[in-house]
Amino acid sequence: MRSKRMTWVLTLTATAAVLGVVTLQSCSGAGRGADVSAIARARGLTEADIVAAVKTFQPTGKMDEYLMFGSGGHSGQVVVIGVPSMRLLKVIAVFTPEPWQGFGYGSDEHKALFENARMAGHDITWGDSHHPALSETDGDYDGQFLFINDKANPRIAVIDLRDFETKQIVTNPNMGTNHGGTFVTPNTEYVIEGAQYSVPLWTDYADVDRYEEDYRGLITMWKFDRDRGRIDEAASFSIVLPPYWHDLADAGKGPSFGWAFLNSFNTEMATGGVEDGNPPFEAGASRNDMDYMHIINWQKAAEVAAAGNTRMARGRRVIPLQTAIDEGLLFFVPEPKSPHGVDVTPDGRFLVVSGKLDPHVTVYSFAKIQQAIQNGDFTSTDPYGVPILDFNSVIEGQLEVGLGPLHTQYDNRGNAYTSIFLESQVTKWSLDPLAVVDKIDVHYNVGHLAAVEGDTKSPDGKYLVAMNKWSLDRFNNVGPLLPQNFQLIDISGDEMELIYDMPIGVGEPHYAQIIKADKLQPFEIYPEIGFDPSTMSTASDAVQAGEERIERRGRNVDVYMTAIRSHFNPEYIRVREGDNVTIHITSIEQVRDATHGFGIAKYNINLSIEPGESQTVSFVADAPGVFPFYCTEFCSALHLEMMGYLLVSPR
Amino acid sequence: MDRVTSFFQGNLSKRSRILIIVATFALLPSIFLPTWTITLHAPQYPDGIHVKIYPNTVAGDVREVNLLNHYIGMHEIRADEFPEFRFIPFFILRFFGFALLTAMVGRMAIAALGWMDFTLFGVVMLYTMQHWLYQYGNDLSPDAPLNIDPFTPHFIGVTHVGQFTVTSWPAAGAILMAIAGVIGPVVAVYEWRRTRSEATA
Repeated sequence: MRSKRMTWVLTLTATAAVLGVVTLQSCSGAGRGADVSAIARARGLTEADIVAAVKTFQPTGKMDEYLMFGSGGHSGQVVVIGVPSMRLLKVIAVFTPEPWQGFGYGSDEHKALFENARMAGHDITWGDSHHPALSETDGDYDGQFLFINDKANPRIAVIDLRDFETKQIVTNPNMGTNHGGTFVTPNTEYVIEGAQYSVPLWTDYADVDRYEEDYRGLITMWKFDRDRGRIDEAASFSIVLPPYWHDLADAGKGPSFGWAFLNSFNTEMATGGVEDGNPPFEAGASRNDMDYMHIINWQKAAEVAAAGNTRMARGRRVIPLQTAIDEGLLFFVPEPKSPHGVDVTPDGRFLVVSGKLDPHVTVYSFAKIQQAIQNGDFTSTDPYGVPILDFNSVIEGQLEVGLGPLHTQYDNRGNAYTSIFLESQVTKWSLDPLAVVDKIDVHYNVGHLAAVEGDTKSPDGKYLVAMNKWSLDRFNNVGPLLPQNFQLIDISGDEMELIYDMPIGVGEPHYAQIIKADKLQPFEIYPEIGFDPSTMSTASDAVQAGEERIERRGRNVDVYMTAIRSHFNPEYIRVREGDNVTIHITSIEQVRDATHGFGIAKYNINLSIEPGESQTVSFVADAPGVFPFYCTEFCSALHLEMMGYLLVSPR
Repeated sequence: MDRVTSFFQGNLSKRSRILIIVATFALLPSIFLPTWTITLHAPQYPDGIHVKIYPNTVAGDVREVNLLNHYIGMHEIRADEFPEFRFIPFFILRFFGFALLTAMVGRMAIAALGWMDFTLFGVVMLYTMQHWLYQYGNDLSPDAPLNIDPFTPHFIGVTHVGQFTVTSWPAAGAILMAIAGVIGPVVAVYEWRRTRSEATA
């Protein structure tokens, strides 16, 4: 009996062993005979590397769960990146002409956009794009619009996420530069733009020796008209601020709805002049231990503006500083010096400020701030009469997080993540109790952080991207100008894990926002043949198949053209030298990705005509000769044959 | 001979009349449903290009098919160039009426006449479809960018043209019509057996 049982056990064990070996072999053979561990050994990869690869790799045809909209820095554009694969999906042309998208290379629609974007009499063909902001509904990203600021030339752009194209650029002539933008209020009622370097406001010119008298800071509340998808410039207004320099902003949400917060530095009002033996700006502007966080009641300010309590400055509505003080729109509270982020917690109850030159994050209680304002509990006023709240009575606490804290994002488990610039780290800390949870090294000199939906009322807590200013030894040497480094960090567990490095070689990105991909519903093709993206409606000059023609009235020549694989119609444009030529061109394509380009040789013209899109290009045929035009986007097997001639006969 | 004559002169049983009612129910929706589907697959069309032929029109990605066809010089497919589309729905309506009448009157002769009429129509339509497929695949413009050998796509099954795999199948409408058509012989066999057993009884 016993031996029989033994035989059974032995047989079972042997069978299991054979099955096990077979299973192992078939597993390792799954990757076309590849042995994962052998490849890893050969490439010198650790187990953690393999885990990171598995967490980020997207096989062909698989979509990313999130999309990151990052500033393109000096490129003036917006980069769109899939998360977690960190694949670059698109560079949206915003402030800088971009030929692939035909942005600023001849189309009348873009000429009008750039015309409105001129400043100080100049065509501005670059931007220092900093802080993108996705439109929000009830404090959550809604995936409809994206805003971004140009720091160098104080401007704000509106991008429609139905076609990922820039629709509007508004200028702010009352600012020298901006920085505290863009941030949106919880229902995108307003897009916030805070100035950075103060300049004279009520006079066009004043020397720096008139700094305290004539220079002023500014915060602008741009009214967004969601139905039109445009900023309503006439309904927007600004509030004058003392001539400090201003940094990042944020909008309150939940209990702090209706309020905006703006950091400041150089409250010393240093005017530099190192060449005259004065302390340079860097020293003069950092003398005091504390600067002022600006607490702004934008909801009440909107009422004050609506009541007409404004003055006009360079054609824009402005609430004077004294009015802002009298109406209770503006309060200060001290904050550790040279702060960068002021980041409202997801529940809207607290504000986290990090001062670059102080190793702490400071957590302010919005309830305590409100209490102090209601009680008139002010310690003093600044030189311009703005009431200052008592620091100690409105803070919830301070936590030492590392040297050079910059910017904070949140997860869905009560944690905050703060970038630590000087130590090149990210510190994870809990809000309640205030305690450091984890730290991770990043490479190097981290600026902003972007967590998935990490500045909304409901962060997702899965990924965090550290936007590092320096990459040093992380990538192949491409010369003395190095790319930036976006590092993807898995924050779903207790400990943060660095899982991907993505070089950014187009400019220095600042902030990014990351949205769940399924919230976006872009067009696959334009909804109608003859659609004009600049108005998001059918173009009045759209050309349908069969309507192609050339109309001549004296020196004006209108060409009504269609494009479809693989020909333009008409294929000849015959004009006389000096004629004003307008080409109205419609893509009558109706399938995805069948994009045509329209480039005219030697005339600096290129359009991108996506399926259904209508574009207009007008120019003076000032150079006589024969100029081929052709489809600049490889569209089909007979793409090279998709061409025509612009024949400009000499007059 | 008497047996055949009396069979056709006879009345239909209740069961047969119910079956013919079923046929009318199959016929009516087929007016509105696609009769045939043609699908083109190629690497750059991961979702395929779908053409649906209805009794009165051709729908789906016809535009894209025409765009592709112009490369090989195929005549443009336009619904208004097929005279069949103008009368097919009325024919179906006629068969529906005929079947309904048969079910009410309950005469074998009317049933047989209606079925033959319907079947003839089906055969003619299949022939017409084959004719058009031949016409489109063989009448290629010599001025086209691409010159390919003339071809005739199968009206049922798979044809390869260039990088495309063309699959052609009957759709819901044709299947319903086939069901209606099959009911004819079913009724005939059933009635033949029934009348024989009555005769021998």
